[in-house]
Amino acid sequence: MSIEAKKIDDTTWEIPKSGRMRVPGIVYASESMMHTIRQDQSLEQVANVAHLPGIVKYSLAMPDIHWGYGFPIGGVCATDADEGVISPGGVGYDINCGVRLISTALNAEQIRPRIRDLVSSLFRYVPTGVGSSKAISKLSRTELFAVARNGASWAVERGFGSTSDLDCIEDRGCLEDADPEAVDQRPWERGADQLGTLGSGNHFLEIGIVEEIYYPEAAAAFGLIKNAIAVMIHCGSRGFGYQICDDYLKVAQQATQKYGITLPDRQLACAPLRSDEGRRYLGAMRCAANYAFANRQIITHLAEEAFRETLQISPREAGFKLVYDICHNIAKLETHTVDGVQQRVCVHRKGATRAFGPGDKHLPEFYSRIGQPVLVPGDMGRYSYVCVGTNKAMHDTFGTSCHGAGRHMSRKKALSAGKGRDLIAELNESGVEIMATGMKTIAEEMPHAYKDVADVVNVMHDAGITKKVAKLRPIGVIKG
Amino acid sequence: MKLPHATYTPFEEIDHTADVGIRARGESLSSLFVNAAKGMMWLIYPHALNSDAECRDLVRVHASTSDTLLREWLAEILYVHAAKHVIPRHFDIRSISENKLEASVRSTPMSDAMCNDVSEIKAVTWHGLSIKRDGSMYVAEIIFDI
Repeated sequence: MSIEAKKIDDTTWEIPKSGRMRVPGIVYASESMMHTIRQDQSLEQVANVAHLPGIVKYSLAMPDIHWGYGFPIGGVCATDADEGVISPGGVGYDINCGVRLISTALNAEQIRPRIRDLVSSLFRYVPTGVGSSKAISKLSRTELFAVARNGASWAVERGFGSTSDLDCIEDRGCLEDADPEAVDQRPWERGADQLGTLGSGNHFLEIGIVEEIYYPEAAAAFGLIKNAIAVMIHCGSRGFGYQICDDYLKVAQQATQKYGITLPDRQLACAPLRSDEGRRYLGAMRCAANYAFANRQIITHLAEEAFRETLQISPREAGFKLVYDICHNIAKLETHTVDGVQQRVCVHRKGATRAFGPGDKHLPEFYSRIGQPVLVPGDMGRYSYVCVGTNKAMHDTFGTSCHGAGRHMSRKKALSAGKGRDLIAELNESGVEIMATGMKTIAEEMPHAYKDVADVVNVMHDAGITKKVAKLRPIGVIKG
Repeated sequence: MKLPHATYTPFEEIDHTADVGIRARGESLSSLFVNAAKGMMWLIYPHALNSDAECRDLVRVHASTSDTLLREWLAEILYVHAAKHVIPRHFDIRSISENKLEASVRSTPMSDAMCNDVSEIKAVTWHGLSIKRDGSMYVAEIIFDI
């Protein structure tokens, strides 16, 4: 199916409403990016999302858009809280897959000579890979319920980090109204021993250097100093979240039929927000989101221990300080101004980042004047960005921006392109030390499998959705 | 005419930008489902295993259509793999219809060494899920979230 996308300006394209689409689509991309985007099914998926009952204003796509399942990766939609639906596929299997950034008191000169030891130590401290487990003791069901209800604060109460960390996490690391009773048996089984683990695929823990500052005032507010070391962690809710999504997609398939909803893709299966099915999914999804917040909180603690042990330094000398922690895959009830009126909506962000502007009441006081940090990891060979949300984002995108570089090469093509090459040596030559559980992951995740994240961030910057704050250069990576 | 086993490719990887998919074939629903399961496990663990399968699970799934049944079957194998830390390898389908399946799945426990070169499949998606007839063959396409 060919989808028409009309250019509105240098960064924005519109997919006109047609057929059973309830709203138009809006895609953020440059001319050259749109050429690539048109080559797979992602525009069709933007149009498909526009079929969801209760969708408000637009079906949106960020410039890191690529072909996903149901929603495109980089897809965003808001549905009316009273009349709209919630779609588990619009959140994805890895519920609250997200990123956090930690600033440190260390600098490049201190770390570069020890980078191999540090990466090796991180690889020992933070379990990675398929079915990685046992970072902490296996939890009882009672403890797991507490994780699901309390998120990051559960981890802080058990000594993983400090209370002040909670101020620097989206929703203070805990989505309210999580309902453990809405979670079936299997997610608990899969989640019992996976807290504190990174997992596989595109998840990573990265040591980077703050290479460039674009917006000094914001960088200062975020504690980012040129040449300082920062740590970025990307992971989610592990098997606990995957199983919750899988369980509720089946519920949503039945609900779609029960409520007479017609959709172009079964992966978009949904339930009215006010239905029992919708409410139960929200309650279960929030449990997984809280599990993911706790997961990243524990990994941060493990990473700090790895730094301290390797460098033989005190907590003060390490100076780990959480900059921010954001969700990539989530659905949240938020209030936004729609056509001049305040409206309660459920914002689905599938591979997209909340990017609230200055003055928003959800931001901690120390970021209120600047806006919310928006963390945009790139590929493991080039760079990542820290940006900041704007009031234009609040107006145009339900306070949302991009979440990463976005793949432009399938894993199969990436593997093929990596054949016969020493990818580890190539990364080493470009100044990146890497450890992973297998070569396949490294080949699939090689830098050129991804778009240049600078292009993605520049589209958001030029569109006024986020402003660039700083660029980070990776020097050490561990992957599953 | 029944095609000899060697005349068709039981499964192959298909391209997907973010995730990964397989196209599986079979002369019957039963062989299609076995080949799809082998294809999925090949994506997860593409290496030969010398040790014998040591544990067995009885899998029962039901669904309203054959393609949904295929998804449920693969999701069930994935659950066995993830929850029990095993590599399912032998799939013996005892009975199958358009909407019901019963099978025995034999698996090898995952050692720490085996975990080092395993790809994670998070889930079996509904996106683009299909079973079609191509002459005497059944052909299915499945996209996995990884």
